[in-house]
Amino acid sequence: MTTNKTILKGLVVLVFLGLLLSCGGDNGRVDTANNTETEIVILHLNDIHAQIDNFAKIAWFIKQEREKNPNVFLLNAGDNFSGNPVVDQYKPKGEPILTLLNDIKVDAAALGNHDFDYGQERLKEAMEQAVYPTLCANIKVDAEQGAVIPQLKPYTVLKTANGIKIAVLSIIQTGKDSGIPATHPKNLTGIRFSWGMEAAKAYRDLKKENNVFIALTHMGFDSDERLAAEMGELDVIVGGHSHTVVKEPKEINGVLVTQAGSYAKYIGRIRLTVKDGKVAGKSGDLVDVKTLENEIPEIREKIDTFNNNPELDKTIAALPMVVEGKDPLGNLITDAIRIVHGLDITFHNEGGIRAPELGKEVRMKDVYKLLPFGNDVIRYEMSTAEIREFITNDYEKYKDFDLKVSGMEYTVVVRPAAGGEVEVTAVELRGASGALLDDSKTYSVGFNSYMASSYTFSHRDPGKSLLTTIAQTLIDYLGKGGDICKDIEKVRTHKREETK
Amino acid sequence: MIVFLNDRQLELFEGARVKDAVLKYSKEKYRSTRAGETIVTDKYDNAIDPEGELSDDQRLYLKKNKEYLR
Repeated sequence: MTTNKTILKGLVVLVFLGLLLSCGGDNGRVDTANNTETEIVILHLNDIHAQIDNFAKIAWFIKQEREKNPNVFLLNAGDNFSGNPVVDQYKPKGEPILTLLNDIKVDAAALGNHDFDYGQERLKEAMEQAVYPTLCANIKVDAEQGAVIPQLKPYTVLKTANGIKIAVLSIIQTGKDSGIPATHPKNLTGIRFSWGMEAAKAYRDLKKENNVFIALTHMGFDSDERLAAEMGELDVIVGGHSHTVVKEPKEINGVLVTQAGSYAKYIGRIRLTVKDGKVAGKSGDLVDVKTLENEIPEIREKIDTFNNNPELDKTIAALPMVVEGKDPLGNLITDAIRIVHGLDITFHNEGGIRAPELGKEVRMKDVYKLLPFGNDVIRYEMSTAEIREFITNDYEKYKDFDLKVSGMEYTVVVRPAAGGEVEVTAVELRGASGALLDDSKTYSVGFNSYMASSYTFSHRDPGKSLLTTIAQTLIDYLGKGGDICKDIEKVRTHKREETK
Repeated sequence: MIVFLNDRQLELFEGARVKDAVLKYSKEKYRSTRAGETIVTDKYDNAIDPEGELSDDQRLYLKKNKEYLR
């Protein structure tokens, strides 16, 4: 009886083990009678923009995925930098995010436009420090023309343990008019870019040479849709740039197109089934990081250390006086924008100045408190008539000098209007010498992106972002030293009542 | 650059972001987006972050944020 029971138990165990193996229990690989299926998981992030706080959870999630399946790969679709002073002002710049990306073992990354924001020297160091390749197929680097970064590889091939080859090709966005990615042109010396869509098509043969073909792009979801429509050879497009939260990937022309939002709030997950050497199934989802409850403690400790960045507490300028009040502060900010960016005239709105003063010892964090909104500097080429209209509309709206100015002084001539309103009948614009501005000329004018989008004014020039913030501009200006408080207490805005 | 928000054509400066399009469209909607009551989506109903970078002819839509209103 005992012997029979033992035999029965043994049979049950054998049947159970058999079932377990046939259910795909051996780490993502399913053996069937006639063929082999491999389950591959592609995890992806994009547009992290220096946001590090979620990385302890992300690291835990990735570790879990890798423990379940050896065929897990992690892609990053670019734009690691710019968006968090803790990281952007670290010494060296960006070090926290670069460390964390290495910790979570990224397998390949796209080059994003904002990855140039710290300059080429820092980008070169970042690429050398990375344990993964940074890819771009539509870039041509010319050291003789002053480029610092090396020529990037257009693609890489990742391999599963059982030899399945995954080609990852990367392209970056370029402006329709500018022909370059959206970063300050000074960061792109010696580098040329071709149209990403065309560059990608030159690599169609990667499909034949590999089992899986992925485009890792940084050009926005709309462009990814067009790429999918034109390149059916691709299995998947993992994108970035537009910060689109694609909860369910779209299948376009047989290509799965996805993107994982931004700021490391989501982790994208693509599941691929490869059978007989070809992709036989694909699907994807997004994991909302705030739903994850576990963290890797060592990563949390690193993040906490990074967040106590001493650079933000360091004095970056010693001023001869406390700069107090919206007019002197506005004058200082507009001087900074004008001088740092080499513009003729600059404005700043009073509402965008969010602290009452700057002390004599200015710390970096004081600048972010003064200018917290992350608005960029926008440049326009404007006629004097356009500048007058800009000032007129603003004064009639606020009935006061909302517009702080540098590079000129202005006088509004006003008279009372019906209903307690104020009518501006004339605006005089005078340059530094006191002479009226030349009505036959145009002037380079700069102000913040909030004003550019919300203020009413005519402008023949559509305007262009200088792709740097007002806060960074003031930090750069304060860092220059010299007599930066000269003239900031001078009254630059004047009003004259019309007598009749 | 030209983009469309709720099918209204907007002309924005080069390098504009989603938040600039919303601000140009309506200050009230901008405030509501900042508060999380309204979200910006594409034609597939994918949410787009206000800091997202725009491209020419991109089409955006404003929707009530169901998660916020829940």
